[in-house]
Amino acid sequence: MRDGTASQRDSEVRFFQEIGQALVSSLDLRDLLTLIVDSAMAALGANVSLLRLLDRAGEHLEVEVARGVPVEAVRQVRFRPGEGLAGRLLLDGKPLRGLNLQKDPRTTQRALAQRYGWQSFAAVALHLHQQPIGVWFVIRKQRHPFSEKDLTFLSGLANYASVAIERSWLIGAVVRGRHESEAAIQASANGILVVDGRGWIVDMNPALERLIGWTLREARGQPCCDIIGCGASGGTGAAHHPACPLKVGAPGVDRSFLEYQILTRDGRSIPVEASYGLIRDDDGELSRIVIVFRDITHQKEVSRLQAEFIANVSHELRTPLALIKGYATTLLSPAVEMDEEETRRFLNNVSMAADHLGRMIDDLLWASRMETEQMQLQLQHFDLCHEVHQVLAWFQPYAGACHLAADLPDGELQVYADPDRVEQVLVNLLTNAVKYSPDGGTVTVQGRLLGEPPWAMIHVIDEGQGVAPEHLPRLFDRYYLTEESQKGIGLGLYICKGLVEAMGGQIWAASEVGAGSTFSFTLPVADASVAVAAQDI
Amino acid sequence: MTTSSVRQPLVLIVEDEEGLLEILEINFRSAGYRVLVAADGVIAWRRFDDERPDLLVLDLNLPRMSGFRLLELVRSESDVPVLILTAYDFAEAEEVAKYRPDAFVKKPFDVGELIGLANRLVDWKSA
Repeated sequence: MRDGTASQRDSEVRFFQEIGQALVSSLDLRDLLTLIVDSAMAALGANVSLLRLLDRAGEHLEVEVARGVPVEAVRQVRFRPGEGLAGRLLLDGKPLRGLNLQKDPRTTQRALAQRYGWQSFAAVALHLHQQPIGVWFVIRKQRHPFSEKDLTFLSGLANYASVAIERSWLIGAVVRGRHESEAAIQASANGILVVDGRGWIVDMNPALERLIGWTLREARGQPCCDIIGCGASGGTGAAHHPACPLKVGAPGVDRSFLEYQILTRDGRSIPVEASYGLIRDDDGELSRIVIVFRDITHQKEVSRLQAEFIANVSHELRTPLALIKGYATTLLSPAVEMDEEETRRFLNNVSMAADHLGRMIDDLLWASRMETEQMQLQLQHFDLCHEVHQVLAWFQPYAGACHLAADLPDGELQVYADPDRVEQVLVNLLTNAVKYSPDGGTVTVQGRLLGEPPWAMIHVIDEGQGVAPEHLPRLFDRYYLTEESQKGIGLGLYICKGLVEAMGGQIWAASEVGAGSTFSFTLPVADASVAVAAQDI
Repeated sequence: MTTSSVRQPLVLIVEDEEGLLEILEINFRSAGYRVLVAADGVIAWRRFDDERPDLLVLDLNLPRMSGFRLLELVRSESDVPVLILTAYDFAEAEEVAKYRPDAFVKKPFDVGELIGLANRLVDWKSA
């Protein structure tokens, strides 16, 4: 650049104005750098220019812009910081000049310089916040040297280039961050709602759309209480509900986490856990409230079932306990006169109530073991027919006014299972059968050997009221009670299923309302059960 | 066993657990009461309506008609003393309180204490 007259200074001013203008109007980094490089080359009468930037890892200087030389020729050459002329310039940051690159002892690229006829050069480092980020060479193919002023001019342009690079990186980071955030919000399984400082909806993600049944297009610009109900009061009147975002965002209110119910478009209430993020502007005014909703229907249902279960268990435990206490205090009462036979009957009833209590506690323990998969089965060979006869004889006093019958094959029915657990299953099924049978009804236990390979199959058949079809699929679920079975803890059939399946069998129910039910299960027969026997269940 | 110059009180015991019903019946009879029993809410209401007992001993968890509903019907036309038997928790006690039961007895209970409570409700002195 030549020393200047007034008109030369004018042209310099115009030159920097143009670059400044380009800097604010163009967003493409390579376009901007190319413009800066070309302008410098024109102003300095250079033939070649190479601008290298440190890669992301900070390990190599990579060619970003190459003018006056095929980019392939220079792209292959990579410098580490401190390596070669470019690498050293990067680290010490002092502008360089030279007369002949082809002979300059500081460069490792003399062959390249010879090949393309490079001679004098000037080079500056690019910095961002005092950190080196790249180097810039301008080269002439004549031995006409670059002046100090040329170097100053080049340094000034390098600052423009650095600004362009920083802006580009910042914009890239923001855009990438925004895309990543948006992708995360869109993909989130939790519902996300963004409202403005007035409580009007600005944005929501697909998970929330699915949860509440409104689309973003419909909801945008609406007061959020009209769309999500804000719990109990609903509508715009809900502004005073403690879950209202405006209330949560109000000064002095420190509630960033709430549990309540939102209303869906079709009027259903959904229990949610809502967490609030408040975004304030520079003046401290609330500008955005981000609410993340987690649907806790399932947890609520589990909690409800557990609470119901505990209430049922305590109720059911009290019933045999009340009998024991009732019979005992009656026997102790001086006001009650009783003969020996009646006394014996009462004591027998106490014993039966205690057995009932014991079985219920067993059920609870087995259910707990099933949950934690800690069932220890004592698998062995035994005769299922003998087992059924024994259970029926033992169970008779509990059958009340029901008749118990056995329909079993002659001879033995050898199975490989745990006899105590088979007894537990049979007693559970018999207890249910008797419970729902009319007085004088018959409960039959039928045993058969079926299929190929053969399975032992047991049916417990009653003449009771039957099970409505809608209950059948869920009968074996944990805690499941039908309206008719309200007295119970909802574990009996759940345990039966767990035990039968652990022994390698299957269990199911068939029923017709008014005609009775048949509960059936299979067990592996002795020979076919080697595989099950080997398992440590 | 009882003060014979006074009319023996009539108790209606409503309980669907057969054993408890038997226990209560024996103890009330031994205490000098005349006893009516019912194992479900519908029969209980019929017996109550027909006989107008002096005391109602009522389990809440009943088939056909719940103890709550029965108590509601009873209270719509009578201030008869009511003794509630329950195996449930206090939430139930709160719910049933609006029908003004006179006493709550939680299962399991001492029969002697229950009879003593019943005696006070009907002002009856059993032996």
